Amino acid sequence: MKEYDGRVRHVFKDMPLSFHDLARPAHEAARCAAEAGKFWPYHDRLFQEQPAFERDELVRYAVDLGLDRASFTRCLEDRRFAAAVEADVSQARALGFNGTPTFLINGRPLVGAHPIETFRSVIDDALSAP
Amino acid sequence: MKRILLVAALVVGVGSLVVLLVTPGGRAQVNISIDPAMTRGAATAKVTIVEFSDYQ
Repeated sequence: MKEYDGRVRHVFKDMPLSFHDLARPAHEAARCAAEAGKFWPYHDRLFQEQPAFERDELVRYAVDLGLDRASFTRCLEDRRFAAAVEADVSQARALGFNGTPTFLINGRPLVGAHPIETFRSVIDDALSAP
Repeated sequence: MKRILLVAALVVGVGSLVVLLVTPGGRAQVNISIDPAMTRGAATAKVTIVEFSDYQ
């Protein structure tokens, strides 16, 4: 991303797969972290720790980032962002996406994990478009 | 995945984007919400990468 500073915006969308039992709470937890301004560090921690997403672990990752234990736990227990996560899943479904990760790069779908060169090529094409 | 023949238009805004798709079944419009807290990079960037992912 650094090499594309100012020219590329990266938007993360939640798409917990139904057969991943621990994914949905993790996605809701990341939104709780987002509310506290720590989305990206929490997001990175989840990918480092997967699939260790039990409740206590999700709270510990938040506390490690300096978030308040009580309010973060309340956010999780209230499932404050359940609807927001579901809205993202609905949008993915509307686009016909059924696997992860799936990317839209200026509207062009790119399905699955690809080498960085593939992303560079698609991004460079989009940047050079009129 | 639906067979997408063409991304007919992409309207990018700060808080949302609209994808207009042409598929064998006809045209479809999908509104994609953008949460600024889950976004990095300039809102004015020429390229927007939307990533649908699963932490697990």
